[in-house]
Amino acid sequence: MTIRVAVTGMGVMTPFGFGVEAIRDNILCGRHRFGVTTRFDASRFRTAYSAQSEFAGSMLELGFRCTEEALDCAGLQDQMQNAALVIGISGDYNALNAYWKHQQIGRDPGSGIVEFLPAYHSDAIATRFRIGGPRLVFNNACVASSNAIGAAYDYIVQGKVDVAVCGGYSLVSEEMYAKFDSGMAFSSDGRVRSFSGKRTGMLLGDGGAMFVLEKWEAAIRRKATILAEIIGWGAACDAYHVCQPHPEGAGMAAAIGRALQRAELVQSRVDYINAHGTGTLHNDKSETLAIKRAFGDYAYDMPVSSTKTMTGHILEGTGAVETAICIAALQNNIVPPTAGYLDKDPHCDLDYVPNVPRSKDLSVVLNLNASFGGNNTALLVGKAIER
Amino acid sequence: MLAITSAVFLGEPWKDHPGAVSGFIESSFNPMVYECVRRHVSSGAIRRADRTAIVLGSAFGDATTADVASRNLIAGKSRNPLLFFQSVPNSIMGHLAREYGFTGMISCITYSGNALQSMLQLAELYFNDPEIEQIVLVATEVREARSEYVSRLLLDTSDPSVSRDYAISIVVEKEIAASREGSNILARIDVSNMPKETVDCSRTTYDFAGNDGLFALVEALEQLRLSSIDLPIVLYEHSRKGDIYAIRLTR
Repeated sequence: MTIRVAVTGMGVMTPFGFGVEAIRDNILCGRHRFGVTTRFDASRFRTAYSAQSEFAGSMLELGFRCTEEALDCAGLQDQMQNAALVIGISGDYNALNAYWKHQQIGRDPGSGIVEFLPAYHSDAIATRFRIGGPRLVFNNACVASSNAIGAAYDYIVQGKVDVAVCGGYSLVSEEMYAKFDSGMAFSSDGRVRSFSGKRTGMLLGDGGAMFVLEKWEAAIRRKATILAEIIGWGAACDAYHVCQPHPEGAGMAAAIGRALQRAELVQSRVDYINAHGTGTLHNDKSETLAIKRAFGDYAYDMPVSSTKTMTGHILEGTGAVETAICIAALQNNIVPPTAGYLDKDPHCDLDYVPNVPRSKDLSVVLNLNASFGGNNTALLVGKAIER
Repeated sequence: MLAITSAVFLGEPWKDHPGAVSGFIESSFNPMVYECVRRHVSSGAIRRADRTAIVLGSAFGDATTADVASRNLIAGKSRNPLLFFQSVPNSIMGHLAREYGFTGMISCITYSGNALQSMLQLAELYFNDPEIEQIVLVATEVREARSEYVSRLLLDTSDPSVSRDYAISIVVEKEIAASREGSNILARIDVSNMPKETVDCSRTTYDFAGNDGLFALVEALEQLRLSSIDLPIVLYEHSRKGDIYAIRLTR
């Protein structure tokens, strides 16, 4: 018997704030959150823009809050003893920065540096919420939290646990900002214009999302509110380059194929794709070709959008946050647009839902992510309905 | 039952230090990862790269790259984009994937303790995919004073824990497949009796000596190779957060 995996808890923060309502009222309406970065002095970099939230806490505090909201939502706070915890994060670079600043002036750096270790986050979250089952921490960059959700799905489908808490999070930090600036990856006009001819690059954003996954039947038995279903996932590597995607999208197409195969779905069942859509020429062109390769002619009939045009790139947290956006899209039957779209790029000829959200009955959506090293993930999310 | 079909240990004292890897600078983290996988491939242990998954694990990650980049930022020095590109562990995996044609699942994980257990858990999940025949598990750490500082903080001990450059790696596959394909089986790992991990949540404890499990595994492989032991070796019996588990290794 196929084991279905229900999402019964979700705690999410985007640059617009906490909660799925913030997604509905902003991202599903096509609003962006880019502005001049104020968390640190960004004036010495090539650009000063990012999609900051008003959250003033640390990364770990963000992880705590998203987890707490997910557990509250699921109503399973006291039943976590055997649950798995699977997260995708980088660790808090502010902690590293503070450590070296203290070292530089000869002061005791204290104990804050422990928060730079991603595994410290999972141990701290597990301890605080008494999540007592197996733990895995992925730190594979922009696919980390998609990989985490996929592994949590595997834990349940393979019968290793009944409940899994999973997700990831990231905040705009000076260290990460400096890295992307040195790679000359940032947009120069303060916007992310994915798939658009006049794109100038990507920008970073704040966000995080944690989910509670459990067996569908168990969720029905305990009369839980099911938010969505994780239907399947796939991962594949480009075997092409250290940091550039495969020029024909081979790895991403393979990841999509594996996800569809595992979910036993034909291509035409997918109603919308939330693309990785970083707003770089390499990504947008490669991703477009990957979608065509995986979906054939149907690729032209399916809306594809990049919500990074509103949230910025949330790095290790991006897969989790975009999964939350997919769930909001499914719940509201609204396809979020590619905001800031200016003009057509001849390499990108799909329906990118330019600038204006669209009403559409959504049953199955696909969340794509990619990272350095040619890693690609494809995560299929379905509406919470009996099949 | 999993079969171990290849094992590599790189570390101090060095017999032959891994050479540089083009495009990767400053840190020995990436060259060590590269060298482990290169040796598995060159020994013929990897049958088909397109049906092989890789899991790269590290407790502290590439601390050298992170620290050099952070110190340069604070000092206001120009920032080398190569340090950006190699700042995530995926990058060396991309390099390896390109060179050897790995197109399957490639994951990077981190842990506060038990590397072997984390890696075997993930391997079990991945072996459920019929496209995966073999999995390369690589654990790497680099010598950094910051790592030692953090170790002392988390272990709450005055006993200095000395970090060092090392990488340790094995290739695992399902025993039935290894036998069918005629792989050179070094040993068998019985993970089926591994108790389900449960964690005592009453306090957070840290064991950054978690890579001991992989060290013990490769040492036990060497014992099996050199001696006529036929009995199972209880490879790793480890108490962590109130839980004990054991992995049995047999010839």
